[in-house]
Amino acid sequence: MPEVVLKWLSFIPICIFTALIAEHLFIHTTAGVTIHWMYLAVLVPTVLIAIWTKSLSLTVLVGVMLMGTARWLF
Amino acid sequence: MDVEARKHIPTAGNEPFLEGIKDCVPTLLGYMSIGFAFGIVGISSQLSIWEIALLSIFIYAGASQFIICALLVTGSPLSAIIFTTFIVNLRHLLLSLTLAPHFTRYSVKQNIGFGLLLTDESFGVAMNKLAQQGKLNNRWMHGLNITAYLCWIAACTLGGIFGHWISNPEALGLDFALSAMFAALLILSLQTVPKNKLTHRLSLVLYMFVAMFVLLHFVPSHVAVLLATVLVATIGVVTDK
Repeated sequence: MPEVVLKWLSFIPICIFTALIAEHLFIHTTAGVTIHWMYLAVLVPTVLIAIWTKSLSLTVLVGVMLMGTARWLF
Repeated sequence: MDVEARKHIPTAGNEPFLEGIKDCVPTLLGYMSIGFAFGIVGISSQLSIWEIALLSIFIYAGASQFIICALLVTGSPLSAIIFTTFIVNLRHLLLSLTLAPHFTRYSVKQNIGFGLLLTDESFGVAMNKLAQQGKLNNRWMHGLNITAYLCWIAACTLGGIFGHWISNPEALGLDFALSAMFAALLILSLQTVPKNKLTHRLSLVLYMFVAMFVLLHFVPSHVAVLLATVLVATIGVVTDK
């Protein structure tokens, strides 16, 4: 397989993961496409936890708890 | 190297299949926690326990299963889901190509068996075994693969049962599990990038956000996902030194 194709394929995972996050971050409202602020507010600490713990399960656990808390508070 | 390696062959009795199972054990916790998380995410993506079990049996690929859920939730057409899954799993072609030369003495049917159940983790364990022993045994590989496969199916199904048991997933924030998973996978991927390439990869992440934001004004989200990905991956190739 040509080098270029391999390279292209190697970028696919980070692109897809970002796309799927962006899909929820940007929402359609009557005013157009805007940022889902609560989602962003939970996403930032979740990303920090991911960087800090390097753990999939911990990140998901904390993220879910933060979102549950955010929904409950607002 | 071969002679030395043979002197140090570890054995669990004389049965390579059992040894394969044993060598799989350290990776099982990882499989089971992600599998369990998938079961829960599957439920919040409106899948039934049956569908979760079948996905884990037929797809048997963590990241892809999560991506499929995300695409289903946004109502993507089947073609888009199949195409995306194919692209995401294409790296398995590379993993298999790397392992294949070590299994040439086994039949095509056996090799198909090795390949079908290949995962990133089993690839890692096999490469490690190869470094220790100098060669790979077919029964060992089957032991490794089948153990992981069965654990995965069990974990996903259990997660599904647990998720189903919780009556209101949104209130608990469970629907965020998918996004948290993608965030974690993204960070983990970026952490394996060599330092001098990190800025480049981060710029791709930025371009993805920009591309998605723009595209979402014009096309449905599943199209935006595909278009943005293809576009930015291409930019990545062009701008990479």
